[in-house]
Amino acid sequence: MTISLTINGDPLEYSGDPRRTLLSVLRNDLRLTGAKEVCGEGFCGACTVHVDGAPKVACLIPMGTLSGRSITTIEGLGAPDMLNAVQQAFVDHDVVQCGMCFPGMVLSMSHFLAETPHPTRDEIKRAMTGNLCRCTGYERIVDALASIAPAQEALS
Amino acid sequence: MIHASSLQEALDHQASGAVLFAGGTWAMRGPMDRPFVTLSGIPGLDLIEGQGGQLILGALVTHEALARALSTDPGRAALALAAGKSATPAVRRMATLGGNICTADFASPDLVPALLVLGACVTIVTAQGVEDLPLADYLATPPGPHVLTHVKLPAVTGRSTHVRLMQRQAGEYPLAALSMALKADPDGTIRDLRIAVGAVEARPRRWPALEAALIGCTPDPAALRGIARDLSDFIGRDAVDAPGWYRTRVLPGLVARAFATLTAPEGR
Repeated sequence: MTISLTINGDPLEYSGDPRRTLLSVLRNDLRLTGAKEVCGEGFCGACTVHVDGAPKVACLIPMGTLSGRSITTIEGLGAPDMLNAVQQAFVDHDVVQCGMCFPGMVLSMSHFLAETPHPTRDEIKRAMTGNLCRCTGYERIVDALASIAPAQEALS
Repeated sequence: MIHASSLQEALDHQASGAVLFAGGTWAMRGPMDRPFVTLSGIPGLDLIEGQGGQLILGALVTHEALARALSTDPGRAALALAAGKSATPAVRRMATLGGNICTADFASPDLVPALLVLGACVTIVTAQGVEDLPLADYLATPPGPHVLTHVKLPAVTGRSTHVRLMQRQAGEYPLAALSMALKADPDGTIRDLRIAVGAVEARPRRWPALEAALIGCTPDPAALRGIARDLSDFIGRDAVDAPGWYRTRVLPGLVARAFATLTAPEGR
């Protein structure tokens, strides 16, 4: 059985084992290594991608459930000369340390801020619960995210 | 992976050894040498529908959808809190109501104690037909091969809440979880009380001894912990996140916390 889906806007026809994880296909077949393979159990969020616009953990999604779906990975979000607001804030606040968590963090937080454009710090922290930073650099991440709404309002 | 388009088809594949697949957050962590049969193509399993005071929920309703649907339903706050705080935001978008109930190996399903105190019944389909049974009976005596299709919650007459003890505030399983539903007279006399405990034993269950001791009483909040300690018959399970003795030791504190929430002026 062939499964048709799109990855970062590009069509993909997949005909391998339908139980294989989206994460495995992204990293090993497509060489899209932004999504990281860490806990493999949905706890750490390092493999977060968007499925039809909503953040989900790619380590627990079998390919067989993705027919017709649109997947966005960190490689499909923004561009080197046109970062999205979360990516730019992470650069501006020097957030990235080892780099393991931040692709998933960016994908989760981009969706969260689209739904909650003026979050409190507590709301940001609650939204971050599924993305573990093993360098424990949480406060700087929260600072970066909290800066986005005021910065955008100043520009508009 | 097999895509069932009807309940009969799912039952047939289950009888041949396939594992039912809902949100996948548990199944994908198990052995991958089994065929999965997905239920997402079966109509009606994502239903959220009020009928009079009753609420009918499809087995494929996600935790996120459940928390959102119940956000304006204070009587069912226990379930809204359980759905909205379990696991992580991304997992809540995937994990389902039916999966939370049916995963027999999972000791810490947050939804189950909340469903128990809200008086939930489950609808199952077997080769013999459709059957409604109380969730407590379903958990106590798991039926043979079946598909759990819906959960039915009766009309609400009191307040409810769900409290969890965590190592971190979120993102992992609770060491102990407790749901409580309370109906009290204006003078504080308890008319109806349901308490259910999750994560402490292998499966969530009600706490009938404590319920019986408190119904008809106007308990002194300061004495609650002692009463709960005396009436606890839970045998905590040892696991990597906490030893069994610790899980039972914290239960009286969770009882006091839930009761305080439900008896506060704006409590839920």
